[in-house]
Amino acid sequence: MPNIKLRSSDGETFEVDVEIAKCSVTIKTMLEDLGMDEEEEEVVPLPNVNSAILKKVIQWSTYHKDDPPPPEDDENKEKRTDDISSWDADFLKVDQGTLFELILAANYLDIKGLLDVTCKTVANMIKGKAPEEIRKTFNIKNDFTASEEEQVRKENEWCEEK
Amino acid sequence: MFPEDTFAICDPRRDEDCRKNGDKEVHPKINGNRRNSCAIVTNTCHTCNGYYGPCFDDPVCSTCHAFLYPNTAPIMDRPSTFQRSSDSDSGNDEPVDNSQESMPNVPLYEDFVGKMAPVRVDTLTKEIQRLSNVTHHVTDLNLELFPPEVLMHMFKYLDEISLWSIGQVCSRWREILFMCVKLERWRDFVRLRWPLLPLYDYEQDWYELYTAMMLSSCCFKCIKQMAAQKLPSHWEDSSWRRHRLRTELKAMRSDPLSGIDAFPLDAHCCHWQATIEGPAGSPYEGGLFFLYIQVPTTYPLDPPLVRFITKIFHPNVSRHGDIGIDSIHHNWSLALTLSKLLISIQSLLTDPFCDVCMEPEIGNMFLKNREAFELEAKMWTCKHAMHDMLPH
Repeated sequence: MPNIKLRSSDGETFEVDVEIAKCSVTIKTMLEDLGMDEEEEEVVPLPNVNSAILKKVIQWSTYHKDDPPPPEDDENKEKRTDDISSWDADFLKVDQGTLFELILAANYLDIKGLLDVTCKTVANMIKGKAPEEIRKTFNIKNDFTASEEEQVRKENEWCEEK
Repeated sequence: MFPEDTFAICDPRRDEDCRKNGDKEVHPKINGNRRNSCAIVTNTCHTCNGYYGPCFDDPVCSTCHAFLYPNTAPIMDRPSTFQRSSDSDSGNDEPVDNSQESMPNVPLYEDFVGKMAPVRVDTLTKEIQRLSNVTHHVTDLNLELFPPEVLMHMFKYLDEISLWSIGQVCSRWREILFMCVKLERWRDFVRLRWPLLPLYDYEQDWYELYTAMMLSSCCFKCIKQMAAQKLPSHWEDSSWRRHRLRTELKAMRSDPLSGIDAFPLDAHCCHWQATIEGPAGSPYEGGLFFLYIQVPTTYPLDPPLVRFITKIFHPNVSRHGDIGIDSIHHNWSLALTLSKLLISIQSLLTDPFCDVCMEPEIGNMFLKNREAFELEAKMWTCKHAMHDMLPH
């Protein structure tokens, strides 16, 4: 099997099987568009992915290389989040930062399977939480306060009119 | 007419500001002071006082909630106070048909729920696990600022309650939410969650209405549990229960009670939603109060579990919505029905019973300062129970 080289943002080069690299639609189109010959010693630069994350992505793609392509999104189909395989669940037992970086990498590299499973993992973290709890979990700032206060004032006015 | 800070007291968003200012002592202290006596919405779980973690505007934190109000346990495990009678046909019963056929005209809640992603419900085991491995990482990457297409992809996996939460997190997420969930869909969601809320056909912001209903609920976790209700795997109800509930439902349909309505949410009539209109002359007048009823498999030997969903300022209703009347506890009798129970709750609204209170501060206020009590109760009614009238 021919290999290609991928270079991460921090300059580390990884040699991977072309078939595995083609899990990523971005790499696949890049290879096709550029007509990169498999014999050439070309290095594919991936400026948005650092080596630690690229390593994880390659690990995931290697395990999932024989998976059938994920089915197209069907709007009416129920979206389950409890169907994450145990291998994926173990694979994604990482800290929040790594998980987020994996999502961004999967999005950039266009690896639908990985994007699905990482998004599901985050969806599971969001599910069933109250807004304030979500903010706290993901360290998000509440930027509503001003307008909401205004709304409370409006409610007051309504009561006063009565 | 109404001083501004009376509103502020019961508004969770103001509480948030208190917390931002580093004020951790917002927990109410019972001293009969008017301001404190009504400040029962706080950021500290009133059961464990914050020991098991924050409660995020709910009266009870998730650990205490999982312990005190387990999801289906009352149906499965509640020991019968009576000896169970034989299930078999006594010979006097009408022939029993399939429970599926018992309510031909009622659209089933399950029909909606089946199409939606399941809601996550906390169990005590999960909560304890969560508490024992604390993973709070702050990273440079913030989920808030993720590319819209990634967030939209993520939101596709969420159920409607979580989607609502998303829209409350920050303005960017709300914008993205509106891109992936059409505003009209919130109308369906309102109908799904509050089937007894009268909806008018004029154009309105359904997400706002959904938000208003959520913020007026006693407990976010209970709403979530209501959405995630599953029937016990080995379902066994007696023909007595079936027959009895069918008769009750028929009676309610043919002879509706004034100001009271009830609606079963599943085929086995395990979970119900009910509404009570605030009785005329009481400070609750004009309000529509939602209740949740859980009918155990052992009904009518055991009483149903009844709880307010809508926030209400009343001495006999706890901040979590639990109702302190003896007929749903030790004084349950076979002669009582769901309608009778709802009637007695309705009359409790007119005449609070202050010898034993769920919320002693409110009881105290009722006895000592009736005027202030009525004003506060009216205010809560305006704020939390009048969404069927308010244009949003």
